[in-house]
Amino acid sequence: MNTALLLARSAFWRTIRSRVVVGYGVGIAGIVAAFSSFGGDPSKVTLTLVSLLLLIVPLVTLIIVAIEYYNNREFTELMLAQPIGRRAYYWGQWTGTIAALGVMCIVPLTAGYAVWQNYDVVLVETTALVLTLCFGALAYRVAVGQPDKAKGIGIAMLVWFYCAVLYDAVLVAMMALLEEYPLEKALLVLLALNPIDAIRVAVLLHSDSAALLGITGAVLREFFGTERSLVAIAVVVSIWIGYPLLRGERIFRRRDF
Amino acid sequence: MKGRFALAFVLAWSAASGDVLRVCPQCELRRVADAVAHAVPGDTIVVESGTYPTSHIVIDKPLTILGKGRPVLDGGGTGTVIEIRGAGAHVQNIVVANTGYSALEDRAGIKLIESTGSSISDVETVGCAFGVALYRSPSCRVENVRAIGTGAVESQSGNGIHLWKSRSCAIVRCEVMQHRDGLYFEFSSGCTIAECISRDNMRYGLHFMFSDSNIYRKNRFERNGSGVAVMYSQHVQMVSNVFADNWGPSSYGLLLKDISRSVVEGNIFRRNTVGVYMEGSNQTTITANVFRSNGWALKALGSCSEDTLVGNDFFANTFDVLSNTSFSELVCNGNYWDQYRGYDLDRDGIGDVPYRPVSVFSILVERVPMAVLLLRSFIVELLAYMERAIPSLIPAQLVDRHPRLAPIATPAVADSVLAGDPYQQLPVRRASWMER
Repeated sequence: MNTALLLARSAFWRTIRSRVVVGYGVGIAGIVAAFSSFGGDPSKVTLTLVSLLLLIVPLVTLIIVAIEYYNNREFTELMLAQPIGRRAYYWGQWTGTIAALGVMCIVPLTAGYAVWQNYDVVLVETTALVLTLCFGALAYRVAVGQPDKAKGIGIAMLVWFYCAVLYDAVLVAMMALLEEYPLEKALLVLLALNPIDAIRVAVLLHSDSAALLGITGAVLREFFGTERSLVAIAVVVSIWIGYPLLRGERIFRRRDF
Repeated sequence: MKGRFALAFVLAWSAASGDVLRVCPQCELRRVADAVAHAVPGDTIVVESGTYPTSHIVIDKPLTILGKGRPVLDGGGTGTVIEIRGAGAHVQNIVVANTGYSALEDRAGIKLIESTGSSISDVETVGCAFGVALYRSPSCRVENVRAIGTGAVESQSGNGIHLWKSRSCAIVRCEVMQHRDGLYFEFSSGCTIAECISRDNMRYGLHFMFSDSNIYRKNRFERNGSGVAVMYSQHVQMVSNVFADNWGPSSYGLLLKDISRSVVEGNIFRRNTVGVYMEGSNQTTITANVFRSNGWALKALGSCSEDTLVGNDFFANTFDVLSNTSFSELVCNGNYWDQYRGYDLDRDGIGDVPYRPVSVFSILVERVPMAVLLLRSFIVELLAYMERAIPSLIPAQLVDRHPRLAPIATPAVADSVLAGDPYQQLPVRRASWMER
C-alpha cells in the first residue's frame, strides 16, 4: 500500500509539472475568466461552463492520460523489474495522474468562483471531477490494452468522438425516425451507455431545466421525479469508472513486458 | 385609518338613510340573523368583535354589515354563511369561516345572487369552499378580500372569487390562495380585475371563459397547479401582470385558448414550463412583455392566426418560441432575444441579420418529448446553428427581421428582472419604432 502511495505521489508531481497539463489548467482558467467576467446570469454561466467541460475534459483527459502511460513505458519496465507488485504500480500510477488532472480542473474553477462568484461551483467542479475519473479510467483501459502508442492515442480520440458527438447524433436520428414508438425505457438504457450523457442528464436534473422533464412521458417522470434517479446515475457512472479500471488492471497484470 | 374612514362613512350613511343596529355577544341582538330580520332597508348592522356561530344568513334588503374589530362569522361546516339577494348590500370588515363542502350546492363564504351594485370589502374568508361567489350580480365591487381555501383536493373545493353571469364588476386588491381556481369568471364581461394576488391554488390562478372585454391589470399569478387558463373570449386586456413559477407537465404561465382581438402587454412571465401557450387564438397582440427563465417562452400552435409578437424581451429561456407547423402566421418583429447572435453595423439598435426564434431541437422535443434529455448536448447545439443558417425544418417565415440588440423594458425594470425580482411591475411603454 505504501508503495502504491509513493508511486502515486511521484506520478502526481511528474504529471502536474508537464507543460501540457499546465496548459490544460491555464485553458480552463481562460474559459472560466471569459464566461464569468461578462457578468451574465449565474444559471447561464453554470450551464455554459458545464457544456464546455463536457466537451473538453473527456478529450483532454483521454489524451493526456494515454500519453502519460505510453511515455512512462521505460519507467514502468524499470519499476516492474523491482520487487513492486503490479497491482500497486497500476493503481499508484493511475491515481497520481488523475489527481494531477483533477487539481488542474479544481484550482482554476475554485479561483474563478472566488473572483466572480457567478456560477454553481459545486456542480461545475463535481462534473469536472467525475468526468476526469471516468475518462481517466477509459484512457487506461485503452492504453493498457494497446501496446502501440499511435494506435492507442487514435483509439482514445475515437472514444471521445464516439461519446461526445457520434452517440448523441445517432440518438437524435433514432428519435426522429422512430418517434411513433415507445422508446422511453430504451432511451434510459441508451443514455446510461454513454458516460457523457449520463453525467449531462445528472446536471440537467440539478439545474432549472429539470422542470422541463415534466413534459416527458410517465416513465421518465417516474424515474427522474425522485432522488432515485441520482442514485441510479451515480451507480452507472461508478460502473463506468470501475469496470474499465478493473479490466485494465487484469490486462496489466498479465502483460508480458 | 381605513377603519376610521369606514366608520365615518357609515355614520354619514346611517345619518342620511337609516338606523344602526348593534350585534355583540352581550347585546340584545346576539345573532347577525336576528339583526337582519329587524332591520329595514338602508339600516347598518354593526357587528362587534367576537365569534358568531352562523348558519346561512339571507340578506334580502339593501343593508350594510360592518364589522368592528374583525368579528368572525363561523358557518360550522354547514353551508353558505352569508347570502345576499337584491341590490345594494354592503359587507365590510368581517371574517367568514368554514362553509364545509357539498357536491350538491356551491357553498360560499359570501354568496351574491341577482344582486346589483353590492360591495364586499376588507373581508377575509377562511376554509370556505367558495370564498366570494357572484351569480347574476352585475356592477358589484369586491375589494381587499383575502380568501384562503380549504386546501382540500381539487374535486372537493371551490373557487376563491367566482363570478357567473355578473357583468361590469370590479375585483380589486384581493388575495386568493389554496382554492381550486383562484379567480373564476364565466359569462362575466366588462369586468376589471386589478392588483390581485392569486397563488398556490390547486388548478388555475385565473380561469375565465366566455367573458369578453375584461381588463386584468397588475395582478400576480404564482405557483398555481396549472397556471392561468383563459378561453373563448375576445377583447381581453392583460396588462402589467406577473405570471410566475408555474411548473408542471400541463402547466402554463398563460394559456390562451380561442382568445381573439386581445392584448397581452407589459407582463412578466418568469420560471414557467411554458410562458404563453396559444391555441386557436387570433388577432391577439403580445407586446412589451418580459419572458425570463421559462422552459418555452411562447408556444403558438398552428391553429393561431394573425397574432403579433412585437417588442418583447426574452431572457434565459430554454426555448424561445415553438410552433408545431412549418407554416406560422405569427407576426414577429422588434423583440429582444438574448440568444440572438447577429450584428448591427449601422448602429441603429436593430440587428442586421434576422433572428429565427424556433430551434430545430425544440421541434424535436415537441414531437418526441423525451428528446429533452439530449438538451445541451454538443450535437444538438451544432444542429441548432446549422438549422439557423440554412432553415429546412423550422418555420421559415417565423422570423424576427428587426431583432433588437438591447432589452426594450426600461433599464431599471430589465435589471430588476435580471436580478431576480419578479414583483417589479413593468411600466407599459410604447417605443416609437412600434408605431411604424
